[in-house]
Amino acid sequence: MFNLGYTLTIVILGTMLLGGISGMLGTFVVLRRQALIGDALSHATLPGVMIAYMLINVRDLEVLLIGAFVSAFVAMVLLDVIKNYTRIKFDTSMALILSSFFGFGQVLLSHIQKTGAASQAGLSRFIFGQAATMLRADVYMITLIALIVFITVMVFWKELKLYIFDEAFFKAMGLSARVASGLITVLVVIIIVIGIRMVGVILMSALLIAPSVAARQFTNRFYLNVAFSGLIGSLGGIIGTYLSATRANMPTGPVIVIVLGTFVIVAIMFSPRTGLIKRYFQNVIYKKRVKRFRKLIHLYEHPSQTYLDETEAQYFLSHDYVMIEDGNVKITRKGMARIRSIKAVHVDES
Amino acid sequence: MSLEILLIAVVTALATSLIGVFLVLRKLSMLTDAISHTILLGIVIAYYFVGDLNSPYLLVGATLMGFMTVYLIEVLLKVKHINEGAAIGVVFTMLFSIAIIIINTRYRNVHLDIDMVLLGNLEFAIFDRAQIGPFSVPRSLIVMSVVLLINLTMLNVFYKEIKLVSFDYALASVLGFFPLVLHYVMMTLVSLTVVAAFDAVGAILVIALMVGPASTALFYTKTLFHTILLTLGVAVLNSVIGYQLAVVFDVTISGMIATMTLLSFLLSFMLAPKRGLISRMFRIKRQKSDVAFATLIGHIQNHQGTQEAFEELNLNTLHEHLKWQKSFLDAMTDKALKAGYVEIENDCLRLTQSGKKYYEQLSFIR
Repeated sequence: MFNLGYTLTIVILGTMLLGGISGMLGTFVVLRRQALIGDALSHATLPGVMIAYMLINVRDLEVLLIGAFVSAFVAMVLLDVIKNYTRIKFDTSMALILSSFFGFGQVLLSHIQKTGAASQAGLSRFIFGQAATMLRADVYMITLIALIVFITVMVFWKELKLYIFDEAFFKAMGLSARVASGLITVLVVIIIVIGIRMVGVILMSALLIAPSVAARQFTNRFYLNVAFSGLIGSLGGIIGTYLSATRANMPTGPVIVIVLGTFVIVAIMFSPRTGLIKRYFQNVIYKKRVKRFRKLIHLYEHPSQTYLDETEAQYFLSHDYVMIEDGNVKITRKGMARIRSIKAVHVDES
Repeated sequence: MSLEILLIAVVTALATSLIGVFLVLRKLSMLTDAISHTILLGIVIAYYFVGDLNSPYLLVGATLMGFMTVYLIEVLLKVKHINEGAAIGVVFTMLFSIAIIIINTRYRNVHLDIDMVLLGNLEFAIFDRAQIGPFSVPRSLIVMSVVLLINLTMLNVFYKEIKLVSFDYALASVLGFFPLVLHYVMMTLVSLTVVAAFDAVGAILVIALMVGPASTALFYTKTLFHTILLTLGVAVLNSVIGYQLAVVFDVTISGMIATMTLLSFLLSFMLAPKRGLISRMFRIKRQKSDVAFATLIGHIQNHQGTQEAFEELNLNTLHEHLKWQKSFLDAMTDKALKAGYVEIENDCLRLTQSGKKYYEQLSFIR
């Protein structure tokens, strides 16, 4: 590697792993159209952290993380119950849970502060994260968790894929949609809980969403989407951390998010499949062709009603697009193929 | 003094929950979450130009940024393969990150407090006062009252249009009500409300105040007008009780109000008379038993008088044919005997006249 120094190497390793694994996992939630669940659950971890601190009164990270996990898990179960037993829209319940859990967390925090044990600084660390204080042990933990998540995803790959793309069929196979959705969400919670420490509550959702949105622009295949997404996520982690480390006062989390956001913009613009630039030129060419061949198109659609003037007929004849039969103009096979190829450009938008 | 805090809390709750009704109905809740975060960038940019933290232009900048957020999300939604949640998630985290980076690099020494925007502080809101005639009034009380007034006026003027757009977006388009324009007007109102409220309750808790009361009210009401009235009622109740509890336990008031919002929602979720979880459970249980009862009667009718009747209708084997527990079969048989629909003849069940009549009216079993 480059000569980055020990601390920076550790931090880059950590954000790379976190970006990769959350990018991969994010694809599952984004394709399920529940992209913002990460945002909701990451806010919902606050009361758990506070309760864990109140109960055990240590600042030991592992204990607080367990609290965060439990609290996000409770939020997840609540979301599931509300979704299944009320008519309340999912995004409304997410917003409510997100905000009120966070409020409850603040209540607990203000109680803790009153007893003089913690400071407001703790909360802002929770909101914004602090990647720079990462230690070697943290990297080991992230590696372990990333491995666990990765293996789980690989083991249940077939089932999860089926669940995401055809839930009705998945249920008809006798599998439980609730278990599948629960599995995905638990994995997301695990990632969130370790991610919060680095990029904070608010930006954690970007790590889940942005890589998969960017990757989706390049592929229609699920496994490629997941793989690209992981790649983009870890790349974002590396570049973001490096950029933030080489400039003064640059917070790591936001820089990573901006790098990922830039990836999304680049993907939207330049993707060879659906990129805006490609589609723009495609459109220009399409319009030009329609203009030039409009009489031929009309002939293709209505063989008996089209009148061609001399110059047009001359041009089409010279390219063998039409032929003259018994004094009538007729479209040739080559002409038909040409029209089809013009039309195909516009229809080809899978 | 403390009455003033309560007043600010109540007015804030009214202004936010009023507009929240439509957010809940139109699935815009998470869009509000996005706006509540991106206003920080609006404040930072406005501060760059004005250079004064108390300038009202900061609020203007923040409101415009809310508008921008909605626009950017709409733009992303036009791109292929990006669904709504993903578009929101990409846009707001990006704008929020830009804000944090600007603050960290440029305004490190200025007191442009991120915590202030995100968390707010109801307790301190009364120290920032303005003079109206002979009265000294907290500034956020004035701001919130004005916003409440604006929201009420807009709602009154555009009630019909907003209602139409909320319930039938397509029809509104067809009738030429420009739902997209109305959408932007609504979202501008939302950002204005969020911006005004963040002083008191902060950008994260304002979402609970917006969305909570309306979702609670929807457990009880059927018409839009009743929903709005009940929403306002719930909002006031939440803030009053939350305030009192916060005073008793000496904790943060805005946090406690948000907690009360969750509690009132969960209570309604459990106990609401028709749509609550408990009444639903009972209804589902009753329906299950009704269907099972009908199944039993249908089964008897189908096999009565056929060759396998002794096998199929025998009280000792019947539950195996229906794949029931024996005890469940006994309970159902008891019910049928009591109703006089069946009688027992050498260990076999047989429909009576009234049982046959009951079967006739069970259209769904045939």
